[in-house]
Amino acid sequence: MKKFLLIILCISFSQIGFSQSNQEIYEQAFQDINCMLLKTCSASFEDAVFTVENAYFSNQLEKEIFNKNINFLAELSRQFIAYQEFVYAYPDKDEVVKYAALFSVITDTVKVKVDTNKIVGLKPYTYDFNDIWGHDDWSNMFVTKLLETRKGNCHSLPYLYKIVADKIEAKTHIAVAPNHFYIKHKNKANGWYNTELTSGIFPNDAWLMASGYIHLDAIVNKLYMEALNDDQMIALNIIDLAKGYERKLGTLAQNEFILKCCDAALTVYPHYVNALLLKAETKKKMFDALMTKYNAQYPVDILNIPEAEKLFTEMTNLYAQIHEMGYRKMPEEMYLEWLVSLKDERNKYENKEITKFKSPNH
Amino acid sequence: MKLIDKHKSQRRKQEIVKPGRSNQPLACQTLAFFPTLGLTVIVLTLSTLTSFGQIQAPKTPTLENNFPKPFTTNPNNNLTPNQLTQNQEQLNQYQKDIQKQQRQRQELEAIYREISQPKKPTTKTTVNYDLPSCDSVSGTSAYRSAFTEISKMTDGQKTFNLSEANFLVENAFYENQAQFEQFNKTIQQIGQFLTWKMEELNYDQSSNLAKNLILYRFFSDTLEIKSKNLKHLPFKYDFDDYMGNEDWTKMFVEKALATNSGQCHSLPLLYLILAEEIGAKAQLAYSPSHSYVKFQDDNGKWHNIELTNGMMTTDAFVLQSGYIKAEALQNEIYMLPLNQKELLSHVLFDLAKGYAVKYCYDSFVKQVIDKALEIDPNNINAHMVKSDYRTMRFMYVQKQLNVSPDNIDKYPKAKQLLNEMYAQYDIVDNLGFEQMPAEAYEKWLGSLQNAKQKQESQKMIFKLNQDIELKR
Repeated sequence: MKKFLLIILCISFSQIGFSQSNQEIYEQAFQDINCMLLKTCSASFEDAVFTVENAYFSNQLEKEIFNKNINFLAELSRQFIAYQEFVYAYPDKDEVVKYAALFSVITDTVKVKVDTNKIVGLKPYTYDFNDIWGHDDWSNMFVTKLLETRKGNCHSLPYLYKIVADKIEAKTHIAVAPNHFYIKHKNKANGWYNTELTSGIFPNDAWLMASGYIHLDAIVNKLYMEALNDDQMIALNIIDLAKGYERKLGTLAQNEFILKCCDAALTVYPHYVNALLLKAETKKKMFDALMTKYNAQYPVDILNIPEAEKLFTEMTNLYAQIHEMGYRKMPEEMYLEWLVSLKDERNKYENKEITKFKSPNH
Repeated sequence: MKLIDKHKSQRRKQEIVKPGRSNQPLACQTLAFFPTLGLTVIVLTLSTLTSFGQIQAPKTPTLENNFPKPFTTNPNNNLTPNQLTQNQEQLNQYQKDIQKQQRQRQELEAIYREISQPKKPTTKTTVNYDLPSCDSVSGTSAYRSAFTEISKMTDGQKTFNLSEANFLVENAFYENQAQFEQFNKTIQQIGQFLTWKMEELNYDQSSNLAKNLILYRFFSDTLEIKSKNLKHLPFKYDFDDYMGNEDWTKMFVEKALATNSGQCHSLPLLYLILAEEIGAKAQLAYSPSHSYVKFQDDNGKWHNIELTNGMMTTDAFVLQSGYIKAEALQNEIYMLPLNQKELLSHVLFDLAKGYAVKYCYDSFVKQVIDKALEIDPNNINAHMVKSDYRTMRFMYVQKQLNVSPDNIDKYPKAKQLLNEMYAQYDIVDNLGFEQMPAEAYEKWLGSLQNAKQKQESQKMIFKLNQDIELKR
């Protein structure tokens, strides 16, 4: 019996020890990103992304390899800008050519001259239909995974695009859609336009609106389809951090940490739907825990407890706010259908006015 | 053939943004193509600009034939011009529009080329930095007095009343030759007719839904009061010169009343004027190159009325146009009901545009547009006029200096004008504006005629009628 207890103790101790260090890692990661929002350190989308992914791998990722990959892509983009002909008749050509370069580097097969007589063909970064939500493996959402396998999803592809764009100083905005991220640019020829990396198409806004899960109010309230500013894009990473934390620590995850992340993100991006949802879900979890604790069958049973009443009010207010802003849950099965609709109904939704490089490398 | 005609019939409101008169057809056309095609203006305007010095006194339009006739018994004024020639004209107009667009695109590229090619700077010493004013033309005073009157409504000296404000705009074009009393009488007669009809139908006179439904029927249906021997036929879409290219008065409410036909500018305004008369609450809403009516039923639910087809539409239909960017919705330039202030801003836009079409783009246009933007900073149509104005002004100066933007640093005043022009383009881009090509517009409005949309519209009307029945 004693032995048994000892074993249990050992296990729990080791568990505590393990989780504490993870806790510390995440705490540090939070500080490293949040200081960008507080302006006490310099902001870098790239650093924020790496911090999030590195924390998930318990700081085992090598920044050097990551840097090397990014620098390679940035250099490739510069080569495109320098050597490819770009036909565009508006005054902002120098900026817009960068967008075209980024698009080619990520979505086209690129031939690279490694030696005087050796040419290597790089395959485009493509959409990975396997585990698109990171249900099986959370790291499927990661840029590091994308760099390694050249396959990514609507999270990692736009993130990589943004990182490389920052390197070559191309003004790039990420935008949020239901369960989805995409890229927005503005130029003098077309005004605002979208870049969809999962299919390598420039879709018009009607495609997003036709998803059926974007309520008119959600657009007006900027829940979706807003070109995010730098702070808002950093805020995306804080929520990514919280989600990674939740995934990694499981039952050991502290709600307080998650709420702290949500609040930090919401200070600069008060209408970030994923932050609002995560916050509401976390409050709900805490309320459920209270119900279990007091052995309550219905919420109303514990509403006389001030702590529970407060949580309940906060939670319901949040859900009401989210609904009022126009959020409607998009079932996961619908997502893929919608994503694929872009290729199927390309004629209907493609913005054909966007200037690209003329058939590069041919 | 049929289909094209149909599309044609639904073509509207293009004119709101890009009207043009016969004496300067290209310039006005392209002006609306900002910022995508906008710079085209530059070259095109040159021809206009050269004629600035010798502005022809615009011929005074005659009122006799156009002035709304008071409501008469059996007003069988559903004018149906010769159907054959009409069809022919529509087809021609359609082809002309497409050609125009192609031309604009080419011209735009030419302009950018021209801009980037430095020329020898001029040695001319006196440079006029302002566009020549049309002040001296006698008729412009009518516009100035209209502006003064409407301004009283903007600063609260006078209550805003669409009927009067819109009359001022249209009458300025006619150099103040019409009488408001007479126009008002026509409106009152229609109002009386509608009230009688509501009584006959036993509609609840306090219901906003009932009032809007009777208005909707006035536009889209034959309404008859047998006991009084009164009858009104539905309004028709006026295919002929629906953009007001040949005749700007095609945009006018007065014209819609006189001919019982109109387009997407005049019909919604007439609807709102009549709504004002019978105390119905309804509001104007914009979509790309278009405007329509929104009203709330007695439960607070919003409905859209598409007067070009006499149909009810859904928001989804409006979004399907494909030319509404998220930014446009976020900046509230489309699809939202205009409040009284925003409607007044729209009236001022009409005033500025009418002046520009009849006379020229000068500082008066800017003054009126600035006022419009002061009360509604996101009025996209007003911003487009301002873009046109800024472009014309810069090009006018550039032409005199004969200098490319690359070498403009030597001329700080010209440079400032260039920067102002670019800043205005940015505003339009940031608001989420995108030019909707004529073909796309026609296709979109034409899609209202497909079975699904028709069915949807009928369902909505049926439902609303039922609501009224239940209340009775």
